[in-house]
Amino acid sequence: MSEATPLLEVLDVTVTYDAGRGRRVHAVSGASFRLLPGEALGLVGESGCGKSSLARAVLQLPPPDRGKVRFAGEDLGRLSGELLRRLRPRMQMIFQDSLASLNPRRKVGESVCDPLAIMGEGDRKERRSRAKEMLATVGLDPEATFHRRPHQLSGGQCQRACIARALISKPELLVCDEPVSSLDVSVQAQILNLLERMRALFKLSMLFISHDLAVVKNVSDRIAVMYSGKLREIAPSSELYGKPAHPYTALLLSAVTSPSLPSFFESRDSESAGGEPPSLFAPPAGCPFHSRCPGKREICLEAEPPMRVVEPGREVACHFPLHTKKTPE
Amino acid sequence: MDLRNLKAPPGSGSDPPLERYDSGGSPKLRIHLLGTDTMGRDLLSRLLHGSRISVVVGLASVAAGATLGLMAGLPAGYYRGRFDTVVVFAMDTILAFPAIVLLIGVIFHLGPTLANLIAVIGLVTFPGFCRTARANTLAYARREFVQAAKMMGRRDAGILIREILPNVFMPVLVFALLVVGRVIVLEGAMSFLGLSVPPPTPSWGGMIAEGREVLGEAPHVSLIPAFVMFLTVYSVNLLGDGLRHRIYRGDRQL
Amino acid sequence: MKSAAHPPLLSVSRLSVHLPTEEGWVRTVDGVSFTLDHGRTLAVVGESGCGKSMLCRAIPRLLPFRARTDQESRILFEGRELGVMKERALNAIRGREIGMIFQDPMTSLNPVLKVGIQIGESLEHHLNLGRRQALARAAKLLKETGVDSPEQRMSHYPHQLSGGQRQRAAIAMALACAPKLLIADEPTTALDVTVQAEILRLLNRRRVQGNMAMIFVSHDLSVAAGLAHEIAVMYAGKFVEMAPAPKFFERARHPYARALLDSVPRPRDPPHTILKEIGGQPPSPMDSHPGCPFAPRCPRARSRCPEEEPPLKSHEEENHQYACWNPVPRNGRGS
Repeated sequence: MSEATPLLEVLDVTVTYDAGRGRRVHAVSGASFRLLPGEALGLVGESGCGKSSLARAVLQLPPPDRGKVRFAGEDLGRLSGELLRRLRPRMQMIFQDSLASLNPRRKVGESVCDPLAIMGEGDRKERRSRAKEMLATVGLDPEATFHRRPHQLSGGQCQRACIARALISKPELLVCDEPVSSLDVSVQAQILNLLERMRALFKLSMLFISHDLAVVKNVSDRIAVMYSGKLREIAPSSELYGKPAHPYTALLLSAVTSPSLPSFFESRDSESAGGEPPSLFAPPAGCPFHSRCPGKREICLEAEPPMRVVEPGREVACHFPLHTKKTPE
Repeated sequence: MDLRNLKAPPGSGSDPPLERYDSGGSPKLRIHLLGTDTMGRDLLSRLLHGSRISVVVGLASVAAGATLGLMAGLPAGYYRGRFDTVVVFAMDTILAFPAIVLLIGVIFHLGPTLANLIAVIGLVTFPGFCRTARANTLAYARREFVQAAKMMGRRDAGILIREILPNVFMPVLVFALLVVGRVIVLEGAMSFLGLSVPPPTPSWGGMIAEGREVLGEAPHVSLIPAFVMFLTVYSVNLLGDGLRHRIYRGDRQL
Repeated sequence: MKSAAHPPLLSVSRLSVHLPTEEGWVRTVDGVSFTLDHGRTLAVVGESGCGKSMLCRAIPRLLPFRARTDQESRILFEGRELGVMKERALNAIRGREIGMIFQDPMTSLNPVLKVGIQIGESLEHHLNLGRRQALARAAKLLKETGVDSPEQRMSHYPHQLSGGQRQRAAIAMALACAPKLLIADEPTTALDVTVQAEILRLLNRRRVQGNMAMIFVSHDLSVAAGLAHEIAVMYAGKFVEMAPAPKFFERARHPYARALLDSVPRPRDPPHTILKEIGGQPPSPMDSHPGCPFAPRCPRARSRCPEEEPPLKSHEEENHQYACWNPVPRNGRGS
């Protein structure tokens, strides 16, 4: 592990929701990871795996039920309302539905000014000019776009405006929750490139959430894989792709085809790991993936595997991880 | 029609009920464009003055109801929890009473003054506004732009006022215009029953009531005020429809 | 492509669909022509607004009420012209010989009917099965799609199923009468990657078993890669390139098709690779101007392009068609 102080430390975070009738949904259980300054961490998993809930818990919206989140050394859970509010400009988020992320009754330019207005920075004129600058930086025509309403912009333009708004307060951390999933392929490439340029320009740390492995790999230095509310594997991007350690990661990779690869129907008849993730209401004992795992053994049904470092920079939660030198216990 | 009504208070001279009796008055008074009522009073001027009551009651009580509705509905929809439960309970309770019955009961008890009337009618319209405000708040509070606002550090009050209210305001305004129409009719019913502002102040419902006895021989005494009320309500409704059409065109994506 | 022995199952010729909007009539599908043989899969790839959904709906004539097609549009299914058929005859074909799957299973399934009944409906209607027989067959179909505990699922309502299960139920419904042609409009877009993989496998299996032809619409090229014999790329209501799949992925000639392929992040590229962008955004059906619709965004546009629209036709190879005056070179890549 590097010596640098992590910008973000998430320790054993658990998030549950009330689902009525006394039941609670365990959206996230015991998640831990670190993010170094300037690093991009991808968070990957299928729907319902808890990645969005984890991201929101990191930003304390709402705070997690259990666990700690440390940002720039500060324990966010311990901060008073006002101190936490003051910290907010340093960590921002963009969402999947960019149109819904903008107040429909306000001009786009004014929404971009908001972060400055809320924190009381500058006067109106200064804020406006900074907003226009930001709009230009993200590739929008500042004069034309400032006075428009969100519904007058295309999906890609909306997302650019949201990025402008997120970055105007010069945050250190940018959380991206599926920012390109509802965009057309050609626009997706534009936005991903824009995020990359912004990352370099503002020296951002990023937490990038997506269900699309190829997109995540393009953006992230390291990738964390989530299943059924729990982190299963964290590894550098190229290694995760080439040598997945967790069987679920392998399943995800086998399901993703690329136009340059031959049809996967002919090349492999994968372990039909059909099925669905277990219920989040009453997580079963043992490893949550055991019901779909072709490599499962007895211990998998009984004991839940903890996240363990298997190689420098790689953690896996599996009794019998793949592609590693660890001998089965 | 509505513009004419609104112009009436400053327009048509001083207190009409007293002036009408002297037949030896100025030539202006001898021309009764719409005829006279059972006491010889000029219908047109009484209509115009009666409109004051309808308009004042209509706007004031709707304003009161809408304000209360927003004040209760916005936090209810945003925070949910116990406050929401209380608000919903209040709404349901008031709704359980038929409006007329409630009005009759309260006015009878407290006395027919303009203030009381506005207050009670406002109360009667409150559940509708509260429901509209609350339902819209529920819909908007979940949207990402509210989360984004929280992320930027806006406090709850700021979110309610600057993010949610501007969005909820429009549907509530549209609803308000439709309610104005209904309130005018309601006031008409009250004054018909003699429970609105007492005579000799003219009010449309009162004029209709007065014409009841001569319905056979001089139906215009009742029918003209009724027709004027109809036109007013109709035009207010059209206004509301037009407004709704305009704002939903702009928000089409949503 | 046409085979000399049999006539094609489906032959679409100069299909255009016009929709009335506030700004006037809009052409969402513009002169599309193609043929499809039994047992073959055509993937139609395009972005939003390109007209692919309208194309899907036009074939079984399920267009919105006020849509119109051109006089010259022809849709021949097994030699029969669908455009002139009466509604009754069309109903006999829809569901029985042509099946359709839509993108959002929540809206294609009736929320107030149990799943089993919905699947059984077309069996009862088209194959004249009795209620009990139909339900039994429906349970079997549901099982084949890989839904767990199918007997129980039969008596569930759509909202009680997960997204993947709902889509499988919709597929069971579409395949119930073993249609000869399946039209699938983005059936896996809303689903998780692993579920998507299973559903694609299922569709392929059924295709092979029943010699079923398939038109598969998607915006996702990699999905098309795994499934299609032939790929057609759609832009602004027109087909701009059509080729057998392997040839397409190897050497797409139309700049838009090439750009689509290049703009998708490739797993083997390292992180932080800058992707190849296409400037601008997909055109809306309202803008129509002369010349090639892609000219405003095309890195290879020449002076002829915005003036004269290139026709879709084969150039060097018989079965590889594209519509471009200045196509991507055969050996090169990108611009």
